[in-house]
Amino acid sequence: MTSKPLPRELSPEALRRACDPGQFAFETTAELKNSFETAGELKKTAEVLGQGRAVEAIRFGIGIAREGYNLFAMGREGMGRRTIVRAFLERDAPRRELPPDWCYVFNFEVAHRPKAISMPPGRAQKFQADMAHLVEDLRTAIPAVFESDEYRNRRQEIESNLGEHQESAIGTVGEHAKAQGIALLRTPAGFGFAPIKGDGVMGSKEFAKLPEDEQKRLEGAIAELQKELEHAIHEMPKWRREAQRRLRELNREVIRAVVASLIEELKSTYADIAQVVQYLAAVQADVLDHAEAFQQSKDGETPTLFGIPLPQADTSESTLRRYQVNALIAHAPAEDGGGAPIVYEDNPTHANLIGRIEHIAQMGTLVTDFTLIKPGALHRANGGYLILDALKILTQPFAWEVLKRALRSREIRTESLGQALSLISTVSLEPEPIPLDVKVVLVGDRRLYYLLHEYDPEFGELFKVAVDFEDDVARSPETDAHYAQVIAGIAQREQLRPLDRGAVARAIERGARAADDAERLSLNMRALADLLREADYWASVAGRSVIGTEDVQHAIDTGERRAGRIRERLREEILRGTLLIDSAGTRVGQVNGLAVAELGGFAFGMPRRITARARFGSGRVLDIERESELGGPIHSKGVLILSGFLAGRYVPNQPLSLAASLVFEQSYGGIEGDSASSAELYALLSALADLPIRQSLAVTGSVNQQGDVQAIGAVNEKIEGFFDLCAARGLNGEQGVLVPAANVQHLMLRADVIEAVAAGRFHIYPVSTIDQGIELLTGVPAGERGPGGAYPQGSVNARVERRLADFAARGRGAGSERQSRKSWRGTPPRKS
Amino acid sequence: MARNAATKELKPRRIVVGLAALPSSRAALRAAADIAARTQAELIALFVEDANLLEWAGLPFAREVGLTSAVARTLDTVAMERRLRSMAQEAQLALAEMARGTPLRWSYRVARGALMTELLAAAAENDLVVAAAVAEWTPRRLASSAHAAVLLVQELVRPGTPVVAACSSALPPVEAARMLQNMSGMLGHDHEVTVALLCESTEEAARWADEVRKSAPDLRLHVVTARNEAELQTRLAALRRPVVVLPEAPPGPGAPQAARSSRPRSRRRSP
Repeated sequence: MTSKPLPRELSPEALRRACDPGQFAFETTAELKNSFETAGELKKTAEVLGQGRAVEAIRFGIGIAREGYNLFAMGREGMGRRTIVRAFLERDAPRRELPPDWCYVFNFEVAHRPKAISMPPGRAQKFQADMAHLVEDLRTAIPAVFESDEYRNRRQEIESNLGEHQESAIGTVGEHAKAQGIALLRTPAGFGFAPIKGDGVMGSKEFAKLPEDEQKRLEGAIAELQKELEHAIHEMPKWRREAQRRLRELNREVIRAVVASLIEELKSTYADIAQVVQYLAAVQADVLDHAEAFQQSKDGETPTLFGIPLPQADTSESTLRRYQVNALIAHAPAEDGGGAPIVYEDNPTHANLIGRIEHIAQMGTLVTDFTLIKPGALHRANGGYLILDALKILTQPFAWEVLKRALRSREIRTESLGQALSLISTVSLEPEPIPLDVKVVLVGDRRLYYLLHEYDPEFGELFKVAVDFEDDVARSPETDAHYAQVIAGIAQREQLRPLDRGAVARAIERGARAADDAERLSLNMRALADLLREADYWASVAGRSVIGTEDVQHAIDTGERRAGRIRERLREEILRGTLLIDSAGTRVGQVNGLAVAELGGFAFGMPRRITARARFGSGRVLDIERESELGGPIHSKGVLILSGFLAGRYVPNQPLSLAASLVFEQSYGGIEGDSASSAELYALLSALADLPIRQSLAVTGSVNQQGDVQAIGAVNEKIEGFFDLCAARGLNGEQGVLVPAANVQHLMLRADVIEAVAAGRFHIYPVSTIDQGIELLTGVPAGERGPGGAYPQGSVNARVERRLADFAARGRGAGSERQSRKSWRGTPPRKS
Repeated sequence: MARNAATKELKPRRIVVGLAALPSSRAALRAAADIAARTQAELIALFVEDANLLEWAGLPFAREVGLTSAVARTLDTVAMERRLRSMAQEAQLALAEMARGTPLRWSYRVARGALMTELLAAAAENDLVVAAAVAEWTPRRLASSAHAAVLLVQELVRPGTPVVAACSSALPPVEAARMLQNMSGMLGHDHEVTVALLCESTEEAARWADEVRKSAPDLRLHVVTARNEAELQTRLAALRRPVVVLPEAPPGPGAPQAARSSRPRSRRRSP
């Protein structure tokens, strides 16, 4: 009846590409340490396995010194992106020059714009200390000058001059008053005039006794004297200003020499840095203007309010702060060992990237100055490399924008977020921007890279080097050996017990399983390291000094068990009959599909009942999942393909007059993917042909319009999911799974599955076409069209075609009936 | 040894500081507290409410012309009393603040009258009077009226600040030597003293100085002579130093203290 033989079930050997421990020349991984020169070499070898493309991109990105050639290291989590990039940067960094130091100093011309000074590495801290010493020296030298007899005499001369001037002016008024019998009194806040009587002041009663004329004379005289006094007092500020000017000039004159000698010494030390020399000249001029700030603090009178001392800002200290140096970036060549810096910023906020301007509370307000400018990651990485997590920087407010701005403008402009967004308008600092020369490495997943490329027009300009990390590598004896070295490297770095050959082989097999491909190995180094750490723990529990196969297997099993609560609950529900899944018997229009669920990084397969019902209709296959909005677009696409298959294969010259419905029974969540499309087709064919399907088999695979079965993902989990159910119910030798033949190369099944297959208690069939599958499921040949164009009698296809032909005939009948009803009604009259 | 004994014997018993509604009062208080702390003498602060000011404030046309603003403000006695009271309280608080955490023994009084009169009345022999200078009280007048040394303060006097002693040759040299030694120790001058001496002839002045030197051989004495009061004032002004006026004829030991005592209105003693 059929021309093509049914596929043979897979042999145990085809179910898993085992790693032969015999291929390794070592007994344990401890021996591998000696195979390499240094630990660094081992590390390097370990980390670049299978990442040739990425390594090439990193080398290119590091090497090219052009604008915009920053790197984006993309790939899945755990692929070692950060570690590999950092390893290469660390190798390159020492070959580059140590970047210059940067200082912020006071800007004597525009106080709120601190000046940035660049100087050779290692000199910023020295400059900072030198300036501190200079201030200390000035604080000693200037008061000494002020204490000298010469200065004191000249100062006293100025002060006395002023005092005499003032006293003379007041005294003259007093003399005028005295001549008229009036005293000039010193009052708490000024002066007053009163008539004299004897040694004292005339009282009000005595005054009242005076003749009226005398009273008027005295009052008039006092009014005149008051005017005279007011005039004299009005003149005083002018004299005081003059005295202050003379005093300032005196200060400048006497300290000029001592200031010059101290600053000249510094100028000669920093003669090679023009900016510093220029700054020191400005300092010199400023010190002459603010000599009084260098006076030691006096026991001045503290202002009081109702007797309570008021806090007072130390003005001399705040004036002296202006001579400090903020060594923003100070490299220590002896300690750093030279080379470009490599900075990883774990928390790339706006402030942590470009620095921040801190404030201190003073007299109830927040104040700041250039000494409170703190560096950001860009400052620290300037002249070297900055590594950032793409997701972190994108989730921090305005951090991405500020990074792009800095890279675009090639300078670091430190400003608060409030300033940048013009949210605050209080006076703050605008530090002079620092030129930026940095290579940024963003580490993120591919989705972010493609999204940024798509939606951020600047991204492509600024991150021209894509470092694309592979997820897995092709498996070969060489790769296995290389992988063994990786394992040895991790064990060494993590200080784990050495692994014996069997354990290494088991870890490699696990790598293939993680890659979901018998012919590839996963490059997820984090997962591998976790497996080794856990295996080491179990070895320690077992009291072994070497990690064996059983320890690695135990680590795998316990890991799955820890994550497998939901899988077990689902299986339990099936065994209890809550979820209806048959694994024996036959049934029309019902097949066991296989679904896979991934929760918390743990994937597991589970059988699902798929049913189909067919009747005469309008040629539509109804996907209940889609109608109930539980099916994803790919699943819907798979179902629509079924209509195409049916229409193309059966009753080709007649319309498809079928109404069919398909459903994943007891599915309460979303269904996505087309891996069940072949199962759905089998159920539909069974329903149309009215042939029962073996429930001891489960099916996976997608199908195309030609009826070819195509590969799907997670084939191992799906097989094991059905196997576990059957095993729990008892393997009877009938059970098995139909998998796409294209998936055979991906099989890395568990040992217990392979044992069952070897014992003939479980079967795995590689299926290439729907015909092969339906024959295996129904036991009835599918049948091929004969020379006359008809399918062999009794075959599945003949039964299906006959049913569809019946539907089509009924469809034609219904069509002609509708047509006759239309004719009877007649055609509407044409409008003229 | 003898000198030490003399110094100890002649250490001022009390420092009496006069406070009034004058800008230099605070400097006087600080100077007095400083000297009292150094010499472990008791400090008596006397705030004098100037009777003249109260009288003046009662006049119908009394106007106070501000020292800095030059604005004339009307006043009355009540306002003036309130202001003086407030200043007295402020001065007391300032003194308490200075004494906080120090072993300084102090007391505080308020009196009404004329500053210098009240102050001199409150002081006894071996006391040191500290006060802001008052124009009517010339050194000559002070020397003849006081029976204790009077330090006139214009600004802060720190240890070692050079001062000049003003006295008349009527003061017996032995007494002068004792007082000068005492003053030198108090003010931390290492026995170097300048004296502005009111004396009619230079010969007499030289004799007087010789007598003093004999009585206090370790005192380095510089004498500036003035023949009359005007000349004395000029000399003192030229020296530009705080002045300590020595009394012409101090009463003998055992004289009653504060015979003409003022009328204290309030009193406070440190615990």
